[in-house]
Amino acid sequence: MAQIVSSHEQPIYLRIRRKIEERIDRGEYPAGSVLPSENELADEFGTTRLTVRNAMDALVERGCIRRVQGKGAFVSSHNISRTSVPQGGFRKVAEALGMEPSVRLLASGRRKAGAYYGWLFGIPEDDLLYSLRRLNSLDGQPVALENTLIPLSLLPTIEDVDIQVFSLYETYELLGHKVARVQEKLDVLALTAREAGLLHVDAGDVAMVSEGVSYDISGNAIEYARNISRADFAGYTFKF
Amino acid sequence: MTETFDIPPRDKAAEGILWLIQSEGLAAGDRLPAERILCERLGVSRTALRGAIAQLTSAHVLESRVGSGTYVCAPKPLSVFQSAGAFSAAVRDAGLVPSARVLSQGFLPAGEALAAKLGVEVGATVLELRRLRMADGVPVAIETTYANSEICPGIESHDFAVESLYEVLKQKYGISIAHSIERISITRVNEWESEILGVEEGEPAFYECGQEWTEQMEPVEYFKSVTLPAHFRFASDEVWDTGAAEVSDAWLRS
Repeated sequence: MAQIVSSHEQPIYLRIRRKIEERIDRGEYPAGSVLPSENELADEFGTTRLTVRNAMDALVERGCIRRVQGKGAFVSSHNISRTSVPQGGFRKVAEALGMEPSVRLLASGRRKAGAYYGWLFGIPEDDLLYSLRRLNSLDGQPVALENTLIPLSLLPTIEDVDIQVFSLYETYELLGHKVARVQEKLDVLALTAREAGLLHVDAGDVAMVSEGVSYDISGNAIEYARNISRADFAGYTFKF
Repeated sequence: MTETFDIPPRDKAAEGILWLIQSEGLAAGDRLPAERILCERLGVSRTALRGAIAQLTSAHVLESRVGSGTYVCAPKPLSVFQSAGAFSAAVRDAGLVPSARVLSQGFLPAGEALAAKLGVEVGATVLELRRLRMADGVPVAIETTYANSEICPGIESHDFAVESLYEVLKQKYGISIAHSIERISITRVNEWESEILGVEEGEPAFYECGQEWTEQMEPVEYFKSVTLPAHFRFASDEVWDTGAAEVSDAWLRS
């Protein structure tokens, strides 16, 4: 069963990928910097631009590298990851990255909880939920779509708060329901044409989905959120 | 005109199906009722229902079998980060039987990146263990682990198809993991992985990598894995305020 594993038998694109990863890890290509062009890397490794591109594709999908049209490929491995659920929401994450966050409200309104969300929030199914659909951007580039449902019975004045100014988490705290616990599940899926269009990527591209329920200190579920993040901005880091 | 606050049709259909699964305890492999019956029962159009089924299929809740209808997917093992459960524990919690197959096991000289992660000299001998992890015999993940072989001489004599690496490190070498960092992102399954996992090349998957240390912050291992989202999920249950009331994990595990 046991066999000696040799790194010399790997296809060239894998070797290049490993090399780039190593350089990122060692800080030779620091976070936020531009990588050498595909042509330069091809020259260095004595291969074609296509092979280099192939080597980089997986790193792009893992969020280690971000390609920016007309500007090249940037190292994002250390600055894009976030520690578990960001305790201040999207704006805090952006702040930590030194990027300019912006949030566009795509739709908002009230709807009945219905049986499923009635169960999730522990409220009658005819109770109303405040529903928000937002597009989050960093430095003007769309990175995530977020659908949020909030029970109006617990947070009756939520609609009066300007969510362009305050994050939802700040708002819950203002209204006496500071978030005390967050449960979150991750999934990976292919984007629909509409989602892809909003995120400026191609339909069928993969994205990371995070579904979360936030609770206040008394254990009331105060928010359900479903966040769809572009692959190149999706990374969760957990530490203990 | 009075506002009715109706739920948008496709959401109504999707939530209706989720509620049906939840309230009637539909289990893995159960077939959903026929379209006509579901539409009537949920009070939605066929278009809305089909949209909802497509959405829930892409979210790995439902699966369509050609010519025979739509079925509820098997419960997915859930790895909750804070409970630090290993793969096997998560699989067992879902009522499934975990197993593993060793794809390769051997030693290699540490390259610069690996050496830095394991706190060894470049060129030091490192154990590389590559395993296929399964639940009820179904391939779920390919996991590659690198360990500093100096701290665990003779470790290659163990059969990691049946033994847990953590247990061996703990029982035989007295090494316990006290700190870890994990990063979860997205990848697509490559050609080699697709053959082992039995899925199409290019299929979206979780890419996880992480490092583990002892209490004294001595590096123990570095690992990476490619995991199929149709068969496994990563989750987090984080308490931000120690005074927070206990909450149910029914939603998290649904």
